[in-house]
Amino acid sequence: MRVLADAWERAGVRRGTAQAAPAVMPTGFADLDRCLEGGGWPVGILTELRVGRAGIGEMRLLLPVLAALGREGRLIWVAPPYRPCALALAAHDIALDHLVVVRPRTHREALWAVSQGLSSPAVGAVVSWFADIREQEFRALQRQAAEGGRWSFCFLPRELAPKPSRLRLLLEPAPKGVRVTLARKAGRPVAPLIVTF
Amino acid sequence: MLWLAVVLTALPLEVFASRKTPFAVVEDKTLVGCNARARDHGLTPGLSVARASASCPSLSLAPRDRAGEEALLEGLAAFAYGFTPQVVLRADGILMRFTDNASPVGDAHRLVAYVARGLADMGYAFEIAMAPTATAAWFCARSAMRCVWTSKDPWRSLLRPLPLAELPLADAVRDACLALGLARVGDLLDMPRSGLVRRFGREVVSLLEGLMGERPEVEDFWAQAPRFRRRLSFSHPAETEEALSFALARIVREWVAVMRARDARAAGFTLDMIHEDGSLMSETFTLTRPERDGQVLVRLMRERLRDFRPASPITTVTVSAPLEASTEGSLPLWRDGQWHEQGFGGLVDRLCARLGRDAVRAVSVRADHRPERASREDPWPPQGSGGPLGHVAADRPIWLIDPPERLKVVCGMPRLRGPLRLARGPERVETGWWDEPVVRDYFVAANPAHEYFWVFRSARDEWFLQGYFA
Repeated sequence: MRVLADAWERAGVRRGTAQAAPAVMPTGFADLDRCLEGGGWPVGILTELRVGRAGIGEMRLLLPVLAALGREGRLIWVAPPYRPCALALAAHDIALDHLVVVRPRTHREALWAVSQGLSSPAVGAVVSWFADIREQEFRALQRQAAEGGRWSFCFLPRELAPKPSRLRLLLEPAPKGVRVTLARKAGRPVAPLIVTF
Repeated sequence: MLWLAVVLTALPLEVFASRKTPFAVVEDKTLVGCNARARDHGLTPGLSVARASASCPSLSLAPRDRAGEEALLEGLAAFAYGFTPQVVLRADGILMRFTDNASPVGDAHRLVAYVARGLADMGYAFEIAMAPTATAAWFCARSAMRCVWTSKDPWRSLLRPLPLAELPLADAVRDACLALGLARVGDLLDMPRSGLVRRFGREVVSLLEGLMGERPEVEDFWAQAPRFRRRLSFSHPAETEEALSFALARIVREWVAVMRARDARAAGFTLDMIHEDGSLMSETFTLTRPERDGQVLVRLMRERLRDFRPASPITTVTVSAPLEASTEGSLPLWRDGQWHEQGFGGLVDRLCARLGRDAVRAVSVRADHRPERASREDPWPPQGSGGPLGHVAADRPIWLIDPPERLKVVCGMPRLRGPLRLARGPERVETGWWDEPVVRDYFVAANPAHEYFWVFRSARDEWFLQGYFA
């Protein structure tokens, strides 16, 4: 056995013994990275973000990772609640020509647009906003995110029943930042933290 | 028969990347081509190098690249091949033969306009002319006539007043004609043919007969190699990726025109770069699906050359690719690397097809100081950034509210789910006086729940909500 191992080493054979860690993207906030398993936003997971009201800093939490993902791939935003301000996005390093804002007319169209984005290899990340989403719809999107290996974020109102997600963050306004509660995550539970911008 | 002649008037110059400083191409110590800046200094082709350098010290020179010119003409012929299979290669241009009424794009004028637009797109300086005989078409193009004559036009009489200068005569013959007072085509035609044969030889009469369509012209038609190959030399070796991608973009423009003309696509190509020290660097690209979108090809090259730092400057780049018959595949993926552009085009097409063009939008910046107009959300594709970003450094919220919402005011202070505290500001925006005057003082405001807003006070002391710092 020993001889064999030496022979492999001499021949430069690399043996896959250690399991590769799942890919993550750093969030851009060191405190948050420490709380997330693997040290960043996980790939292939539909991250559920619960926001009481739009405009509490929820986008600034995502912009660093979106800027990084938008450099290579495209960003698909499905049904954002307001019009994005180009100057603000540019100031946060979002490549504007890589950003596609989809304005679906119906819930079904929105689901379809998200699923298209999740299965396209050209897309870096899909961000979606839903007023409500059924459990099996959420599961379907979650499955597609896993198959496509995309980063995806889904904003949902705070008061909805919990969805079968693997990573759920509750966001609340905080002075100069946003208070993040990791309501559901892989690994040990962690205490809420305040991410400051 | 109809002949369309295209003469590249600055062919020696075309094979070099364009430059902003005076630049000339030299052969036998004589200028054979000079760019616009050199012409501004009074330089013209035919000048000796010594005199040219004396009158323009900043002039840079490069030896003539015959092989490059040939390759360029081949490319041009391939482009012409899309209009007619009967293409003749000449030393500084091409001839295309059409039957009297068979043109792929309509009548003769439209055809000429079509070809001229294609040439202009490729960035060439050219002269174009159409006439019922090859000699006449070539002669008119050389004389910069820009004429479109079909056999219905009185083209024979129109030819008569043209000067002999550009007729392909031997210099001795032309001089002799001028000495005899024969300055125009008509003068020569009026002479008895037998006398012309005796004095100047059989060739002159054959030429005239060919010109007037009295005898069939024999031309060697060009046989197309199913390959695109284009070489571009840098008069100043390129050291930066920027200079390189500029040249590559130019090659790709031609390449796409050729592919379009032949209804071909590229399934792969080779990019050869010759360094100043003589070493060759060769990059091979393979695509899963044959492609002919120039942007995709350029981006693909750029992607590969992203961190490209040549060991020594590059003097020549060559792109060569077999031309594949066009097939519409369905798998939009690149075989090698992380190339996603193709898949993205398909995605946008799908989204537009199902949700409507209006539902798929791009965010862009316009040069307008009014915030609600500076940021646009228009149907895809992006309209490019319209001008400079202005004051990007200033605070801008992620979400814009358009039109702005009026805020409740209590005791002179605006309220939004509690009294607003003005955290930063004011930032005065005063503009749009030419159509809709705007005077606003913008503030970043926060309410007791730590939600941050972008609000403004109008000239009439009313408060409005313009955005959320989401």
